[in-house]
Amino acid sequence: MVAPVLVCCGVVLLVVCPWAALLVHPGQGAQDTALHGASALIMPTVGWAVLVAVVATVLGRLAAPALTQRTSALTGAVIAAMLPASAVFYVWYAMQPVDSGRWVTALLLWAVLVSTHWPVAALVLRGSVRTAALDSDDAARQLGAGLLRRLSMCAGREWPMWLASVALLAALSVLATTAFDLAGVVTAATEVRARAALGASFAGLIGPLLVLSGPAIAGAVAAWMCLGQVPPQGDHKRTTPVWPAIVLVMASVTAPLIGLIWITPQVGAPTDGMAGAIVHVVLRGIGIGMLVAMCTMPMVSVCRQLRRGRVRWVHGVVLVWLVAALLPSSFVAAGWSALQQWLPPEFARWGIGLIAASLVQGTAVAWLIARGMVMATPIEREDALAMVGTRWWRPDHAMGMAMVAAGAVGGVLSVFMPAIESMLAPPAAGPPLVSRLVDAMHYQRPESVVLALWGLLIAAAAVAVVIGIMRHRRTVAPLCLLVIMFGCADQSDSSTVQPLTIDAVIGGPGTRTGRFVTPRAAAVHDGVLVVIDRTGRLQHFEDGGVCAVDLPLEGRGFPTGVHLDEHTTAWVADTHSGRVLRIEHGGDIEVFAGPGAAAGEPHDLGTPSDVQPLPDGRVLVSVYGGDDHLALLGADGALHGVIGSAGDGVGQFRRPQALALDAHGQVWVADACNHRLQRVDPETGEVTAVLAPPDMRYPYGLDILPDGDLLVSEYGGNVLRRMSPDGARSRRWGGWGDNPGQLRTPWSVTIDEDAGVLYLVDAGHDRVLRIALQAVAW
Amino acid sequence: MPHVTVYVSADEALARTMLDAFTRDTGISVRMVGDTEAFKSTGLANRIRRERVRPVADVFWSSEATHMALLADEGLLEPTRTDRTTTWPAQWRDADHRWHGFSPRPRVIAFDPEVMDRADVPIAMADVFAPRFIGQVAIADPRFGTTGGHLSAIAATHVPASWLALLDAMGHARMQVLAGGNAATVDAVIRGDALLGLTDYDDVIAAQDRGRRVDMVLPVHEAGGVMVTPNTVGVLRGCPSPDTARVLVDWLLSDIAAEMLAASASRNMPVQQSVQTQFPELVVDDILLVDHGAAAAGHNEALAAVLAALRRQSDDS
Repeated sequence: MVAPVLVCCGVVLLVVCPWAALLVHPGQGAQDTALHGASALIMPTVGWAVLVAVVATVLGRLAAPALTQRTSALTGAVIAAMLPASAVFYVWYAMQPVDSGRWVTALLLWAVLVSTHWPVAALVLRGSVRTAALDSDDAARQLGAGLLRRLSMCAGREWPMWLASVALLAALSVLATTAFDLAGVVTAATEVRARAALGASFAGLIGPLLVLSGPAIAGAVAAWMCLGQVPPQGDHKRTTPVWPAIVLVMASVTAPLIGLIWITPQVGAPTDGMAGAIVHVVLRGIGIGMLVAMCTMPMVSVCRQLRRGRVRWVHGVVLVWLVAALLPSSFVAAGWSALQQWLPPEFARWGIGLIAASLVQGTAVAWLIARGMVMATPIEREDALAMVGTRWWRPDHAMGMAMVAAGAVGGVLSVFMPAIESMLAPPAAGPPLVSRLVDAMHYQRPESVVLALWGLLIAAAAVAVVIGIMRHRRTVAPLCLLVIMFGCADQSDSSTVQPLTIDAVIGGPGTRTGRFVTPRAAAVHDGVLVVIDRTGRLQHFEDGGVCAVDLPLEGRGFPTGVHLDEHTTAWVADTHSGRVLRIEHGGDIEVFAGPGAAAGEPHDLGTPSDVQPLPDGRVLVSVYGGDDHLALLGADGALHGVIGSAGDGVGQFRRPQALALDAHGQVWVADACNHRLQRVDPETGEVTAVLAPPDMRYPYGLDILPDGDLLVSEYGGNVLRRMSPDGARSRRWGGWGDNPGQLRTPWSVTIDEDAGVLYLVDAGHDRVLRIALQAVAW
Repeated sequence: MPHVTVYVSADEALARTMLDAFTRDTGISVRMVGDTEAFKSTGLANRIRRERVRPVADVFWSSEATHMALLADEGLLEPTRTDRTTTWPAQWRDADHRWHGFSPRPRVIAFDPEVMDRADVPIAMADVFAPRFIGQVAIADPRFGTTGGHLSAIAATHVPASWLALLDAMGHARMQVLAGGNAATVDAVIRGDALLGLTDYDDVIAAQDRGRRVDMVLPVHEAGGVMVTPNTVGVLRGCPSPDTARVLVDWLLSDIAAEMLAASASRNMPVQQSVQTQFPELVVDDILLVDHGAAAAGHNEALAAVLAALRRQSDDS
């Protein structure tokens, strides 16, 4: 409960306290401060919001497929999203002929707002393009449907996500108040900023706030809900049209860059100390970014609990948080400004109010990143983490990535808040950058704006590099430069391991026979392949035909292990039902051990994860769930003995996930949460070898090659590994990703010696890969 | 090292240059807080009000007089006597020495000399809102900065009938009220979005220095003379460093500061006769005499009337 309490403290500190201070603050009312009434603000505000949001959503949808597959497109989109619309608009505005007219200026403003907001739409809509809708899109393409027709079909299928995108962008787009200033456009956000600067009370602000609150609430709910969906995984081998992303990145990033390059020699060096201001603000951005990263830790923990249906009341807390971030930052600043009058003067002198107000948007982004990251992590990995006993203050891999991403984005976002800076910046010897930047725009000092925009562009590129590196683990910095210069030129293959060469793909997402929903285990013998998945089906693939057997599952149990013996009888670890099933090739099902067993003395097996029949007729079963061990069963299913216990010492296990019998009668155990393999002698229970390569992550699947080498599928590492039994040699293939030869959470591997192939269960892609054994040769 | 904290609503680049010179002259380091062009003076004045119990700043250097006078009336300024202003005209200082004015710059009407002949530009303030310029006049948001101070000064110096007539004309003028401040007003004229822009002298000079095609006239008011807006400076009551604050106030009122401001890109008019002789082109002879204390006293009422007129024009359009 510590993490939920911490986030409650966060919302109280960052949102509730300043709002409450503003409520009781005796400022000026609307009559004294209003230049534009709420009714006069509705049309321009809603009009601009809708015009920008709808077009940006359509463009974002066009680019979304490329963002799911191409790191270069994602990198370009991140840069475009991080650039402040005001600064980009100013560059075009400065280059625009002075007599071009107001309509051209308005068109330019609209284009810049669209160019800086379509990436948000693309990121929101990424989830949609992973669904089976791809199939119907392909079908429509083959039938000759045009782009508009296919877009309208997309909108019909994905309308909830489209609505979410439009609502979020509508709330975001009108917050670019400086750009609206330059274009001479008044919106509710500019009016809130003006009234806040006048010292308006809550009542004085309520009119324009009401205009903005609709999109803010809708945007917050939409963003939170759409990130709460588990991203469907699928076979993404289709060819994605990349030209929309190329065009959009070119327009959004490369074109302003060319404008900057063109204008820089003309404007000369700034004379008003902008260079010193940049150093000052970079330090502040790094500090706030670190704070945002720290705030992300309890957020990830809370998101994990929410995913499991716990602490549902936190949804309300987060929505308040997100709505606060989608309202003008001047409103937050006004609240903190009011609050500071009751706080010691050190709060103002040390800039604590400035930091706290700057954190609101950064931490809101952290919430979205935390939720997206948690929901994108397969539930099985979350299970494994929960079993390991992680705590919210101990960053694991996913939390670390969320912290880095949130810190980077939050740090950059936090420094471009002119309203907050102008109202809350403490006295300083160094000038605050953003106020100076806004002044430079207003005073028409392009030399200062150009220098600042270079800095912002570099900061945005740095954030994009961080996110690109997290997406694939190869450095993408050089690529980032290419993206800036030439748009998204090529697909990146950023894995540090080699991609697999795949003979054939079996299955794909779906519940029809021959398809899978998160397949978890496979076994092969004598040309018969069996696969079990989360729908509780055991599917036989034989001579080109497929048949499916429904397993007698109880409750929400899902099987995780299967083995085929020499009679092609399938032994299934019916994990969450606590049983071992034996299924004849004809389909007769027998409960071998556990509740409902036909023979032997019934006993509690716990949660069995895999089954390995031994040559002497006994059966070894791996068990996890707190009392992790190997259960040795007799031929009648009765318990004959227990090997090992829970723990991380030699002979102890944490989630023994897979078993494989070698030619010497020894059993290799995939000790998943200890990130190692142990070899056990089933006769004595002694451990005869331990293999723990430092880069091994959650070995879930295991089989043995004819020469005695081990093949290991690593669920956390997203690789297929070949190792010599002594651990002296090791080589990996695959890597996380959707490109051909890349994997998502491979669960199991099995070898067909006679056919010279292996089958790899690529669970995240809902498919089984057939791979020639030569493809994994040393 | 002694230090002073100052809130500055003058252009920050200019202020920074001045304060660096102050540090060199006196050895007192300066920490400053500026504001954006759009909210000059008003934002900082409200900040000072919120910090009245525990002031953070020592000195408030405002680019106009109304908000300074309002702060004085609210008891937030400490009287600061200095010999430098005793010989200056009364309109450049508060009677109780709570604030002092220096280096003013005129309010002007900006126009594009290739679009409009100088002879056609109104030279009387009342004519700016004439029917022939409906929809063609740009002003900064009157709730902030010198625009608000200008309108308050008109209300304080004109007879009620003239003020009401001006308000009525404003209510029908369909003016372009720009949130970007006085610089945005000049830009609107340069870009052809407006024929006339009611703005500050230094903003037009800055545009001209950038090579923009823009010129200006100094409009005369019905009450007589050209409106000039002084910089003002005052020491905050209960400030942390009152001694260094007085040193800074004294320095800003010095001839050296006046020379720097006159020679700067802002081209402020010196008040001191000794400095005026060096910059005769900046001196405005026919100045609208404004009692800034009275203007401040009527500021809220005048602003409410202007806002009502502008809201009416917004509703009409």
